[in-house]
Amino acid sequence: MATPQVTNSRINIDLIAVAIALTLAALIRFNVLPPVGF
Amino acid sequence: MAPAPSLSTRFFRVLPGVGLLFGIGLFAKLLEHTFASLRATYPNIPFPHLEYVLWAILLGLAVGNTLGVAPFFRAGVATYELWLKLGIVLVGARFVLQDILHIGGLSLALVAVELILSLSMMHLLGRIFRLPPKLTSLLAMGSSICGVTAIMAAKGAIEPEEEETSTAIAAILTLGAIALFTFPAIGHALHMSQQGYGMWAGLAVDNTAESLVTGSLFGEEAGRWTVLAKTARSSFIGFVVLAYAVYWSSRGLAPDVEHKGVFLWRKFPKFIIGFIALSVLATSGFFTHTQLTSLTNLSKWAFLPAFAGVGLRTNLRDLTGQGWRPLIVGILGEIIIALITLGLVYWSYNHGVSR
Repeated sequence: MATPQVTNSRINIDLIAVAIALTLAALIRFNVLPPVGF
Repeated sequence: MAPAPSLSTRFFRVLPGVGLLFGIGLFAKLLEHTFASLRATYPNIPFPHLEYVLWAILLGLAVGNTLGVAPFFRAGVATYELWLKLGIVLVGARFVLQDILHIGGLSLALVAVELILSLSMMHLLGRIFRLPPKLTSLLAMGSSICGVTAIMAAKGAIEPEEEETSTAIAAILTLGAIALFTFPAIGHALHMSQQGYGMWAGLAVDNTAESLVTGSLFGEEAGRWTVLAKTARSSFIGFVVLAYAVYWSSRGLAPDVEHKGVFLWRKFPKFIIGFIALSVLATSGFFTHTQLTSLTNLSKWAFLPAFAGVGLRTNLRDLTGQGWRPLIVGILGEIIIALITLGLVYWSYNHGVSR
């Protein structure tokens, strides 16, 4: 049985996710990004 | 040893898979929209009434289990975890801090009970079914905290056999896949509230991705409560893995843990810090209402490829390919845990502790 493709780089992924999220939040807060729809 | 690939090489390597994730997600949205239009135009024809979350999972399952994920796409498909964490951090903006302290406090209490029950149950069942002790430890950690992440975190700490890690991961993922299709039906049958169901999905479904999807399948609001309960549960990961590391080390079957504080910090899921940071900013009035709506929509865009990734990497063949004993232990344990957490949530929300 193949081991699922899981790496042990959780900390890096977590920090990258936090950095991207805070950057997006700043861009939205200072109106650099237009309102986002879904 | 070959040099590590450059940033640009890695970027171009993940592009096809990321394209596949977004492609499936967008197609899922298109299907939801198309069938909604068809239902409005032809009300007498019973077109499927499925949300994009379920479409994304079903499309991912169909592609992953028929065509398979070609090596060309794999690096990009593996980024689903990044999209998932990004979505979770962004959802933090939807919770004011009072909610997190109030409901988070309730979550922590429920999580503490769930942790003790899961760990005891899995060890009892592991003993009854005579599973190898380290496999039992892995299943107990996976079912009590956050699935695959906990198992991977424990891998370096208690040094199980490779086969035991694979079996534990496959069992947890299999059970997560089963929850995707059973929990929403149970929630509807019991007429659960969005908040109650969301908390239940966050407490009872182990792997973060499957937990979030299981919550979101019931409704958008339920998905947000699932994030909160699951985040509270994930915050315990360091303590539980440390306890097991110390136990196996004391038996001479794992390396010593020298700096316990550093160990706890390394295992702590850092995305929780981002989740709380955005909640603090939202609570302090840093964002306008329109900006908060934009952040919520951005979190949905982030979850879209994550949902597709869950479907793509769920291997239905693994349902039967891992030996029956770990699966029986997992299923029995999870059913009991799901029932007890359901009872806990029901009890909690009937005693005036909901918002």
